[in-house]
Parts: sequence; C-alpha cells; structure tokens
Amino acid sequence: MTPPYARRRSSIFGGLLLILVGFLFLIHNLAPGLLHLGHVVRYWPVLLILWGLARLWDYSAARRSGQSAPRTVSGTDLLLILLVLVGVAALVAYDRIHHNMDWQRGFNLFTNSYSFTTTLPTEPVEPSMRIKLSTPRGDINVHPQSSSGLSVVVTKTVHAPSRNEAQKIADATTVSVQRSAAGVEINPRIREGGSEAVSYDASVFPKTSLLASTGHGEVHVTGIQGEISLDAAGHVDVSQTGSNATVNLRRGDAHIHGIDGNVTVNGRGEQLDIGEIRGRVSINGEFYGPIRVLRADKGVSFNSRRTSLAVSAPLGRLDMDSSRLVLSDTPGNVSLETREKDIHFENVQGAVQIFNRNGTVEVRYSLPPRHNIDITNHAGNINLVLPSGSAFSITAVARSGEISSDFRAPSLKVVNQSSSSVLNGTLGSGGPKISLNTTYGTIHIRRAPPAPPVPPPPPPSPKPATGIRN
Amino acid sequence: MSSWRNCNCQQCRIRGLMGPALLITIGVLFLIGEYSAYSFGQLAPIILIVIGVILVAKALASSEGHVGP
Repeated sequence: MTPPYARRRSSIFGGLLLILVGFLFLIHNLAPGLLHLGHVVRYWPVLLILWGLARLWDYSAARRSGQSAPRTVSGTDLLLILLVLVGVAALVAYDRIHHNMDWQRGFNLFTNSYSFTTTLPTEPVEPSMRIKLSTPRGDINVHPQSSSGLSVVVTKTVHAPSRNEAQKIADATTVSVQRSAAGVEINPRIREGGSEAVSYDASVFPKTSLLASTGHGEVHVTGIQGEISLDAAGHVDVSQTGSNATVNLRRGDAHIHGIDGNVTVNGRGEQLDIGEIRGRVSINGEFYGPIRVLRADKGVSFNSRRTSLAVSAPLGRLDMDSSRLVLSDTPGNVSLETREKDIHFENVQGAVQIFNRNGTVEVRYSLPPRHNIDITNHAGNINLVLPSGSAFSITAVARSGEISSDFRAPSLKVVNQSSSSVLNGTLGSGGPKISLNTTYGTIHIRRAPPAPPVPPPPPPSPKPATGIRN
Repeated sequence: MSSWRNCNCQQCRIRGLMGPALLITIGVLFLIGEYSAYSFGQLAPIILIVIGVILVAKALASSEGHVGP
C-alpha cells in the first residue's frame, strides 16, 4: 500500500481565470454594450497581475506545507491565457458579424414546426376604446382598417414530432376574447409549460388605442391613431401612428418612423432607428447600437448607465454607437455627459454643455455662437471650430496639455505654465462665455473657413406618405 | 480509472463535486431560461463561474492523506 502523501497542489490561477471569464461573458450577455473590444485592449494586463498574484499564493502555500516551490511560469498557464484572449476576441468578432443573433430559437432538433391559422369573429369597437393583445410567444402585426371593427387572424405555431400531435396541441391552445366598456382584451391559453407560439395579425379600427405585448417575438404596428404601448423581445416596427408611442424592448431592434406624438423607448436591445417624430423622443436603457434619430420635433433625451443626453428643441440628427456620438442641427440647448466616446457637434445654436472622458470632443459652428459653451474632457482633445467674426469671452485650461488658437488678439493670452496651458480673454464684445477644460489633451480653437451663410432650418415639412424605412 | 474516485482527501472530495454541481447548474439555468426574460444562452457563462469556483476551492483545500499518484 502506498503511504499517504501530500500531492503537489494545483494552482488557483486556472479557477480564478474561469471565474473572471465567466463574469465577463455574463456581463456581456446581460448588459449588452457595457463591454466592448476597447476594454479588452485596455485592461488585458490585469491578467498578468492576476497570474502573478496567483503564482505568489501558490509559492507561499507550497512553502507552508513544506513542498518544493512550483515553477513560476508553467506552459499550462500560458496556454490558458492565450485561449482566453483568443476566445474573447472571437466572441467580439462573432458579435460584430451576427449582430442580430437570436438565442431564443433553437432546440427544435427532433420536432417539426406546424402552423394552424384561425380567424376570430370580428369584434365591434368604438373610437377611444383600448385594444390589448398579448401573447407569451409569437409575433403581433397590427394594421388599420376602415370599418369600426377588430378582426384578428390567429396563427398557432406548434413544435411536435407529428402533424396529429401538433393538431392536438393546437386544439388545446385557445384564445380568449374579453370585452368590457373600456375595450377588448385578447389572451391565449397555452398548456402548462408549453412552448407554442401564438401570433396575431390584427386589422383594427384606427381610432383606438393599442397595447401589444409579446414575451418572445416581434411587433409591427402601423396606422393607429390612438396611444400605443408595446412590449417585445425581438424586432419592433412602428410607423405612421397618430399619438404617443411607448416601446418596452427586452432585446432586438426598433424602427420607429412617422409618429405624431412623443416616443419613449425603454429597456435594452440593439439597434434603434427613429425618425420623423412630431413629439419628443426619450430613450432610457441599454442599447448596443447603432442608435439613430432623424428629426425629433420636440427634442431628445437619452439616458443609459454611460450616457445622459438632453436636447431641448427640434433635433435634426443624432447618430450614436459605443464609441462615437454625432449630433447636428438644433436651435436648442444640448447637455451631454458620457465617457469613452468621440463626440462631434455641428450647428447647435443653443447652449452646449459636454462632459466626456477618454475621447475627443469636437464642436463646430458655422455661425458665431450666441450661447455659452462649456466643455470638460479628461484624457482627450477638445476641438472648437468658430467662424471668423465670432465674439466671445473664453477661459480654456489644458492640464498636462497644450492650447493652440487661430484667433489672435492682444486681449487673448495663452499662458504656458509648467504642466498646464491656460487661455484667458475676450474677443469682440457681447459674446457668450466659452469654458474649455481638459487634462492630458490639446485644446484647438480653429477658425472655420469662410462659408456662405447657412439658411435657417426649414419649417417642419408635412408628414410624408410613408416613413423613411418601413 | 480516475485517481480521485478512490481517495478521501479534501481535494479529491471537492473534485468529485464537479459533475453534480455542473448538472444542477445546467438544469437550473434551463429552468430559468424557460421562465424568465433571460435565455439559457445568455446565462451559460454561469457554468464557467461554477467550474472556476470549484477549481479554486480544490486548489485551496488540503491534500493531506491523498492516495494515489
């Protein structure tokens, strides 16, 4: 019999690495947009530190138990680190390619999918009634009809090994229609634990309001005049509606065009494409991007963990992704607080307030600014482009950086101190206050090339017959 | 035959937990995937975390009384 002896300890590094990678992937999955390639590039040396600490611990543990010290650099550890880096890079690359990948489908290897379509009897509805369509799984499609009724075509999709079994399951899946004075409510009854999808294709009297909710699936709504509120996990498409629209997204994209009211988008997901909005656009949540807003007549507010943006007046264009934010054409005030983004503002006529870190900030004016500009950046440049003939009073401070200015006047002085550069003074009279602050970056104040005067933004054009994208 | 099966030291006992713990985790994740807004695919990294925790616990445990190679 072999005498009991203490075998050599395994290193704690492998385990720690797996925990770290697991958490990273979990964050990646549950909070899309919080992690991106930049983080991997920036923070990979943390792996080396972790490796060193683990080795230190292994060494002291071995000494304590009286064994010989383990080798410092083991091939297994190196291989592990390499594998993790390759894995993370592959994941990021895969994400880029399969942006709209759908995790929910799948696991249908041994069954076929069968669809059964039934038409519900047409319900009479009054104007201002509320129509509620819900399903735990399935798509919802709503379009207007001229008569004052509600007709719904129900499609049940069943996964089963054979048509007979599918038919049984479909027969057991019923759809209930409940009427009240306030409106009509349509709900499916699905067997316990069933994964059947119940989709609706509804023709609705347009003067009603609509509530549509699906646990897994897409929602398409067009032509409704009342308020709409949608819950979806998948693609959402809303166009040509007459009142406020609220979209709660759990994943997927949203295309929202031609809304005569306010638009609110909450939750998390990927791409947002919003345009031709008569009201205000509010976006709250974590959206992976790209996010685009074209023409929001009452301004925009955007709030995520990383970014808060408020535009007080009609906005021409907003383009945003994880590393970039471009905003142009608004007569209103803009305030923005974010980090790790390159920011570009063009033709903002109101006051500008920007806080950023680790990215550049560029603000361009084609007309002399009339309201205050306040930009604070950290570890990044600030570029301010002003037309000749601008009047302003300026305070610019670049800590551990430099200031260069195309505007030269006796009343403008650049003072270079040991580690910082300061510009103070006024140009012309009656101009707004400009305050620029950065650390570890350069402030460029440039003169815009002379350009023909920009015409004022055109008045809101009449609503086009179709959205930019349907 | 794996050496940890016929050894009674702490390290090998924890090593024996790996299989059951993974089975339980995967089962629970499938359930959560079915009944919540999160899908199994989104939660799968929890499996890595569980493996990591067990490996660390194993590395931290004493191997006194280890039998076998």
